Amino acid sequence: MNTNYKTISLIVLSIFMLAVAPCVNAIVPAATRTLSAASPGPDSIFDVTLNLSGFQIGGIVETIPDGFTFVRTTHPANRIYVSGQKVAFVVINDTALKYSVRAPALEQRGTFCGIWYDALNGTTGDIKRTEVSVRQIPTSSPTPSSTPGFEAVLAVTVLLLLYPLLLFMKKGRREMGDGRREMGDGRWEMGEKSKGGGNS
Amino acid sequence: MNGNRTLPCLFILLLFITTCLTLLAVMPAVAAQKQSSVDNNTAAVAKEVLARELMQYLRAEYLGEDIEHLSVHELKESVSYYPLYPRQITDSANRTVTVYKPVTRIVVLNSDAGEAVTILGAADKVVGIVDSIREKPFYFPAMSRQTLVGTWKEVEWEKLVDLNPDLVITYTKYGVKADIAAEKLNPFNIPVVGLNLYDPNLIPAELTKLAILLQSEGRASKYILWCDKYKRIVEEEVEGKEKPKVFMTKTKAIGLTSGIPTFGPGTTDNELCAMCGGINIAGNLTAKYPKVGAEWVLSENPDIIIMKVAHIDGWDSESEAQSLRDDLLVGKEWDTLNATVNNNVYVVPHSAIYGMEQPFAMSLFAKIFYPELDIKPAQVYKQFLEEFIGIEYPADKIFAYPALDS
Repeated sequence: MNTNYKTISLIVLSIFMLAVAPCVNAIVPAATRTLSAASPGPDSIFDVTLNLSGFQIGGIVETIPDGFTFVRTTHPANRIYVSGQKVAFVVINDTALKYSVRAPALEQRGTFCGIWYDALNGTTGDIKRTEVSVRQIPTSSPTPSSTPGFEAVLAVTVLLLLYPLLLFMKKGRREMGDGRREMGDGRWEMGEKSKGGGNS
Repeated sequence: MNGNRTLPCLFILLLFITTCLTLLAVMPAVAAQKQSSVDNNTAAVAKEVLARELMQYLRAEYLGEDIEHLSVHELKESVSYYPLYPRQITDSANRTVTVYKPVTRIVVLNSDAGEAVTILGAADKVVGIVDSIREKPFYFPAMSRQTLVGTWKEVEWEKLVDLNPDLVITYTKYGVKADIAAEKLNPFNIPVVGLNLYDPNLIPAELTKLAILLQSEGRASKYILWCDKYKRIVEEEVEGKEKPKVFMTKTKAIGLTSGIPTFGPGTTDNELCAMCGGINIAGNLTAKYPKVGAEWVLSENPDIIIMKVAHIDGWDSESEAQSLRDDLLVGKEWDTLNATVNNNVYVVPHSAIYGMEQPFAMSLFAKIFYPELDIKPAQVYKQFLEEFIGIEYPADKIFAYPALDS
């Protein structure tokens, strides 16, 4: 009897776990932010994506770090409002929203922060902060790859340099190989044994 | 023993929680289904209005702007009805009227609005009325017993506010005008809609607007189709016929030989007369509500005279109506008029002319103008009362004198 209940309970528990997973995801409002570049170059434009879950109608208010500038968004024009470093988005059945930001001209660090607002439940919460660091890409001498046909010339040069070396090595091996044969009988036998032993 | 009890309890508990969570999981699907049942225009308006309100809230709460916005509770309530709500219209006073949730408490400030609300199936939501509804228990058996907030011309605002309505319906040009009502009620967040539900040309559009606010579009469509049907019938029947000259007046004309009230251009009566194939002899006068002398009427020699009688929904006997007609003719020396000679002086209830009874009014006028037409006004009225107002047609009542072949 107990075993039956245990079995049934386990089955129900499994169903419960399966039911809980999507529900928890659906019930708890959340927004996660990802940047297309965590270390954008100075004055570059990068994207900020907010993935929304657990609420269908409400809003997001993002605070862009000082020095960074809001550029554009794919969100409908009547559902976005920019005021200084803050950007308000109205959410109506959106699962994600995306906007572009211009990084400052100089190297700088900053933090994106924001809040979500679930209008149906009248609740609000913070969106996890996202660090951003503007870094100058190290300047180097002009890259060879920018020269057309450079790869081909390089390959040919390498082959030309390697060819005598290969010839020299081939000749040397032929001489070394004879020597092995001379003293190789004993080694051969040893090698065979060793090989056989290794496989056993 | 304990283990034996614990396991079934655990089993039932888990089953219960699983069911609850499964229900929660399918809720978005149910919401999506609700969305699909809303027509595109309603959903588009709801989305636009809600987006605006949400943005106002975000700007006020999170960007520190000093702007008017809905409270968290109001938004929460409205969002729970999305996409059926918010609903928004532009009323006849060119004001934007928005309702954020189903309307449940209505105050009607004229009887036309009372009829419209009844046709739209929302009579049970009326909590406040004016005298013109109280005086019509025949039309409004239940509504006429609701709280009286004044007359159709003057309202006791405090009394109205105490009723805590979520919609007040009034006229824009007469009585308690929408602008004035809005000014009084805006501080209490009570929406006011101004609709002229008496003008035959405006009724379909006005009723459609009200239906949007009351979420009764289907009922409005049914009524408008019914109106259109009779409008078409009357138009077809009177087309090409020789138009009779008509003089229209009201009970106040009794005993007067000068200053007899009539209806000029721009009045509902003038519109109705034209729609039914008559020529209003006062239609070319400059005043909207001119007053004329008995001699002027004599010189115009109308073929038909119609006198509207106020505060009555028909007569119990012919003698009552007949005496009113006789009283009208006293002292005016209209014996030689075509109308008098041919016994074409009619008395009709005022209520038949205005408002939602428009198809009855059209069929009645058309039948008076052209008695040979195959139109039965009594049947139209019966249909109106029974199908749209929900009351039994009083077969023993007289709605026009002399009697028409109905």
